[in-house]
Amino acid sequence: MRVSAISTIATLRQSPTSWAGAFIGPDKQLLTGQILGITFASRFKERSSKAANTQRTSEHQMVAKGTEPGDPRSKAAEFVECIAKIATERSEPAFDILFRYFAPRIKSYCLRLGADDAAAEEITQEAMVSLWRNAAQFNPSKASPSTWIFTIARNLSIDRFRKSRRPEFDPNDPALVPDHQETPDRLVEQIEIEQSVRNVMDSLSAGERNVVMLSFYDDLSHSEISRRLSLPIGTVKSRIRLAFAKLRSALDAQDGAGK
Amino acid sequence: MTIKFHVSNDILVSYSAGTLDEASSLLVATHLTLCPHCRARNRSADSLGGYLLDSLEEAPVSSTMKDAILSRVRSEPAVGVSKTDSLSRTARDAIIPDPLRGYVGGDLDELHWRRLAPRVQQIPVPTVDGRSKARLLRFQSGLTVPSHGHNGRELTLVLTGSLCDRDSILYRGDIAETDERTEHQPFAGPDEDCICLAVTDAPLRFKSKMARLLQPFFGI
Repeated sequence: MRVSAISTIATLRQSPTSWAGAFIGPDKQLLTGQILGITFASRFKERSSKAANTQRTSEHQMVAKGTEPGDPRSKAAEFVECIAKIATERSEPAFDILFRYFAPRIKSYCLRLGADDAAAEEITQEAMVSLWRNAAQFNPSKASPSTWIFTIARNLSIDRFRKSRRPEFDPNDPALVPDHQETPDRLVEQIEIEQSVRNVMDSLSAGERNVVMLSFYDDLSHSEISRRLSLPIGTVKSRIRLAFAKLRSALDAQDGAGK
Repeated sequence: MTIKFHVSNDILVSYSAGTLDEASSLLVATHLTLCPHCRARNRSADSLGGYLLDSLEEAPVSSTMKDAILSRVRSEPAVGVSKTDSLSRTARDAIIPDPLRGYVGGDLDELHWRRLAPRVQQIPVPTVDGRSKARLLRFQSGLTVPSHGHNGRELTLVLTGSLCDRDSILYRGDIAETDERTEHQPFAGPDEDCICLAVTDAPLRFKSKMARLLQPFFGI
């Protein structure tokens, strides 16, 4: 396992980009987490083999199911309007539309993070309350509704059951190095950048998308993902490598955006 | 000075996912204060979260939740418009950026340094999750840090002065990321003291016997 991991890193290292985080740690979880391109570090929660077995699912079932992402652009436009209506008119019908779409997804996200049903319900409720209260703060030129709501749910879940903190920068800090003046062009650019991340995700095979999802949401080690998907670890590794190589290009395509 | 050494994708993505340890998150957030380029990258990494939220299967939500929320928020006064930027800007630039300033209890002139080694001072930065260790280090100008390796990852964010590490010179806002295989001997630039935020997830391995012997006392 270690030998093959080293060769994986060697491959990654040949690319000039920043895989500097990959390292051979005394802790195998650190190692696998780094290869994923995601630093799980000690976040890794040891799951009992029993739990692992009940979570074991065939790959087919793990592939994003439920409502297909569909055309997020038209949905996003509708959601932007709904958030604006909550901000300006305190519109309950608009809230209803957002609730029906987002509440079951936020809850699903919490359950994936390991929350029990009661905690997942509580965080979902708090996130939707926060959406209502902060609707006026939402800036559609900075993020899509889904991204904004994801950040709300993420922050609540770190507070509530990750027993950690996630410091954020303060846009009013006197030490802040400001963005270059935001021209209308640049505002369009941010939306396009988000779209390019979505396009990359859409272009991934179902299998690649799957490993990205698992690594983003579930804090899983390499071998854990391989067990869950019933795939050989080599397949998991190569998918992860491919998927993150494609994503890397989208993440690095920011050079015009404020450098 | 334009920042040259940015936060790597894997760390940025785990910061967005919310899985990164607190000390490293503090370093990332402090870098984001100084780096518009990475703030844009950070928005992209967040949008990955938005995409994945869209593609999650739906979990059934209790039938009473929506009404419970509406009855909570109905009675609340209308929410104001978002606060404007730049109101709290002071004329004086802060040297220690937020959120780090909050963690160490003030800006540069308010800090209480402790001696760590000859010509090196430190301020430990407490975190609640205890998964990794953050400290503010102050190297006297021209100081060479004894050659050392690492048992884990080390992230260093330069805040003042400069730090020469292997082939690179790092200035305010630059990040150095080292790992297990790195043996290095960084030194502070000659002009001014170098203050940096260092985050380690495992103790350092010093090459010299003396440094190794002293290590437990310094707690590095």
